[in-house]
Amino acid sequence: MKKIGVFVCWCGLNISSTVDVGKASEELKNYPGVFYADDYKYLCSDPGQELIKKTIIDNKLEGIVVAACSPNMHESTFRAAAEAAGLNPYRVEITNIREQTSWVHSNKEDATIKAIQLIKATVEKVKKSEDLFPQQIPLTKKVLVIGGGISGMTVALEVAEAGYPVILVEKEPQIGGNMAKLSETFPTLDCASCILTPKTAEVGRHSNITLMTNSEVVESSGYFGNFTVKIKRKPTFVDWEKCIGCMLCQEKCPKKTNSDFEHGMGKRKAISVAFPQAIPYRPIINEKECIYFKTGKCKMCVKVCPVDCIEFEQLENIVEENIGAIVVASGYELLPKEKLSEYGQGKYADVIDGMQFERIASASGPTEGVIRRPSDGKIPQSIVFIQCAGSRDNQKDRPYCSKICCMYTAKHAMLYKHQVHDGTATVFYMDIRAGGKGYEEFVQRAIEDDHVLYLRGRVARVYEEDGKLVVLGVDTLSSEQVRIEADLVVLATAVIPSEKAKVLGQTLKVGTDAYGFFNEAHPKLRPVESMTKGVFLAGCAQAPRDIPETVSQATGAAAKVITMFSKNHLVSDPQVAKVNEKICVGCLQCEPICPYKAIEPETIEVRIGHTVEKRQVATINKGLCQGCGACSVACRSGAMNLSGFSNEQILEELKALCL
Amino acid sequence: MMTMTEKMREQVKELFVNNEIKLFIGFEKGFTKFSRIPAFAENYDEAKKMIIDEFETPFLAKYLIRELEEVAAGIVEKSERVAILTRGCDYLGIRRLIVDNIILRENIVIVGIPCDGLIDVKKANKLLGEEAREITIDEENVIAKGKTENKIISKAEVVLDRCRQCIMCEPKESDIMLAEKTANVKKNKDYSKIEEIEKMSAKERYEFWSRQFERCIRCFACRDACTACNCRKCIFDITEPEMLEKTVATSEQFMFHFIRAFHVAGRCSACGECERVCPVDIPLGLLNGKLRKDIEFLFNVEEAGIPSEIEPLGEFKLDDPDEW
Repeated sequence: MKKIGVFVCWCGLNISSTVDVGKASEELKNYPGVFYADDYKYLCSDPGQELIKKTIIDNKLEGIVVAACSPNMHESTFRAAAEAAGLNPYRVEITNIREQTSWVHSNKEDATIKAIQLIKATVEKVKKSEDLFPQQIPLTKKVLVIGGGISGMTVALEVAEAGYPVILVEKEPQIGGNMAKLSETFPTLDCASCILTPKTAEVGRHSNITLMTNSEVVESSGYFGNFTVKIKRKPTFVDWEKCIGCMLCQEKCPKKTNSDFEHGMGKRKAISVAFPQAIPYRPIINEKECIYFKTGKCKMCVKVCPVDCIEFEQLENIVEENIGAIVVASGYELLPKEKLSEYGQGKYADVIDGMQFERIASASGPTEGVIRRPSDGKIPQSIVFIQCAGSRDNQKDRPYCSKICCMYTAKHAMLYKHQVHDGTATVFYMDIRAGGKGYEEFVQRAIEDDHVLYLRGRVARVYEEDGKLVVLGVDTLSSEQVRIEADLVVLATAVIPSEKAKVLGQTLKVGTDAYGFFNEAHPKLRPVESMTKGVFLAGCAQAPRDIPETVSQATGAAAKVITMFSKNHLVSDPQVAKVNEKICVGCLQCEPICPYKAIEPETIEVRIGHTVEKRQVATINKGLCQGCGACSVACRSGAMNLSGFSNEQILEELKALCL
Repeated sequence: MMTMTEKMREQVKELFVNNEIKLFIGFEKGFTKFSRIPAFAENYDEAKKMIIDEFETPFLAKYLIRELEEVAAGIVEKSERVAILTRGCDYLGIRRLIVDNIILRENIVIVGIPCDGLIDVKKANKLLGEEAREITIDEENVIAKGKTENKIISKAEVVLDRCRQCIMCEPKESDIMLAEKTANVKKNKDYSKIEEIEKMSAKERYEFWSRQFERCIRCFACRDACTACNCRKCIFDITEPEMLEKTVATSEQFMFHFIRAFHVAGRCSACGECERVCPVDIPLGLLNGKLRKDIEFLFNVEEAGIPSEIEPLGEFKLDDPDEW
């Protein structure tokens, strides 16, 4: 019988007001196997930990139970204390008598009985505990950043500055993301390009950053510290190494097409760069629009190119990279207007979304910063801005707040009023959410200084009447119906995750929520980590957020990567699955059930009597295994066992509870 | 026309003469007139005693583990093959073993028999009112001869319980087929008995199963007969941790049958052998059937009894509708 110590924490009044801690420790003293039991006011305090250490040493304890708060809080504290006293940390188990007992019950007598039962069960578990030792796993100190927007660039620059190589993968031909499309930024109204381009330029020239634009991550395998990813490099049809960026091709190309970058507000050539400050400043041929690809004739670009860099026969190729960590910064898109039937479902040219407004307000945009409406180029005299277009709307399956719309709508209205002083800007809003430094003041400025009319209420319908857009809504403060004739309607459509986020999540084995945003490991305490070790999150890939918040989060993610890379090897949690090869029948039912693909077949040789038998069994990749326990549940014969949560331990716990 | 037995002998002869198999597994007459027991032949002479008829037979697939495990493990030469008489239900069992990586398909010669359902002599005796002295079976009827009178019974009345819920009347693929497909009727899935139990209150249901499990003598015949129970070491045989108290008590019987039902959930091929071998007639088919029914309903599986590479309960999907 092992010598076990039991420590019951009061947690001040948190536990002791509902659980009779004295009674619990007294009763545990008489429980078989318990050599020492005591209660203490705050075990997590320094003296509390000292008490644990001293007791372990003085009594030569072989296992301890700490009955306190959730193991999420202080398991590591108590395990470290035990380790300092020479006890293997995995012989320390926590009984949660706070979140699972005192906080959820009011009857002290019953709660005490429950606490005692739970502690006894944990004592039984500790009796079956074994020494576990972490394993060292090698580490590739190279990070893959997916997404070249402001968040991805921030991560890349931070990690590169710390001295580690970075691969920055961007699906578009140039970096900059959505921020590159913005006109000016709230709450300072400084030009987005002016603050972004120093960053893009730095990313472009940084010696530690390998830029892979026009590329996508298509496959990922391996684990924490040792991933292998396959990156698809889509053809640009231009040899970017040779190209000198003279853009003669763009100038002479006879084919004009709609520009994705301009969100339908402007045109581009079939061979072009998206915008003047693009990094890399290299053109790409739009295969679907190019005359040569359609008819086999033209080749104007080939004729004018001074360095012979047009390559119509270029094919996509896949490159493989070994990396240690992945940062997902895949950004956002806007909910398509086509989904919003009340606002015309995209059939009116002058009902545009926020990003389209950004383009017509941008100095580098198609109208060179003059706000003209798309249908006829007229300068609008009346603009209606509709907030929460799709957001906070259960019927559009977007019950969440898109967070940035209140602010950018105020900005749009101000930019408009600064240009058209006698124009009217009306904003329909549900609430104004301006939580941020200088944000509320910014909105007030729009209302007071720039005379933007804010109407609290929803818009029922936008329709066309006699060639004019009519916005029919309600002002809930005066309880009156409002009918406004508008030259331009701007919808603050909901922020949604990038179209390919879900597929990317599946590729990287990172979960997404119901809307497709990546799930963080803990909403408060681990916001930049995903549930998959070694994969971090930054920016709008995780949830809608503005630029300052994106940059902070991206810097946080970079810090996580740098912390990880600051060690020479990684230490794996020993609480992972293990296979009892004697029992394993090799059916491999565990293989498809493993979310982390940590299980593989292996042929082993075992001596049975006088024969050596060869057979197939399952093996665990300890680096990949996250200790979720799915395999041990799937294994019928119990050959699969989770260290630290073994079948033996759990059965003993159950037996103690059911007595 | 040759009978199936004659055709089998011819085929067996050929297999042994051509040195294609090391063993043939079939049936022979048992100790009573109408019982059939497994038979193993290592040469043609030994196979002469084997017969095929429509009397109740035990399940053969499970013997393949014993015969072929070593081949699959690579201890014995890969080319060794075993031929086995295979009805539809046996075929599902064989598939189970192949899917579970216990045996390899290339080591098996499937000798297929179409089947309309096997005859339960006990049922015939009951209808006759005495122990039949002679039973003859034709296309549609069974004629049971008693001491003084004969009784003509329709086949449907005396077919084995497990055959009533048959989901595969002949092996889906075979190496040798001993007869043309019979004009068998596709049986409709019948979960009516299970639905009756579902309608019971929790208390009634508990009482119902208590009555059933009380009888269990823990002989483990159900487990030993089941092809889904193919573990190297069964969890009930492992002493540390002790999943099952050795005491024979109703609560432990509950544990045994529930754990077994969950271990074969999604893997049970509905052969009904567990129920057939039970010496105390515990309706295990109801328990396994309930799980099959639920799987078919919850996972949109057409037929839960047919083994597939990825089991409905054995897969991880990121888009699983149930959040985890």
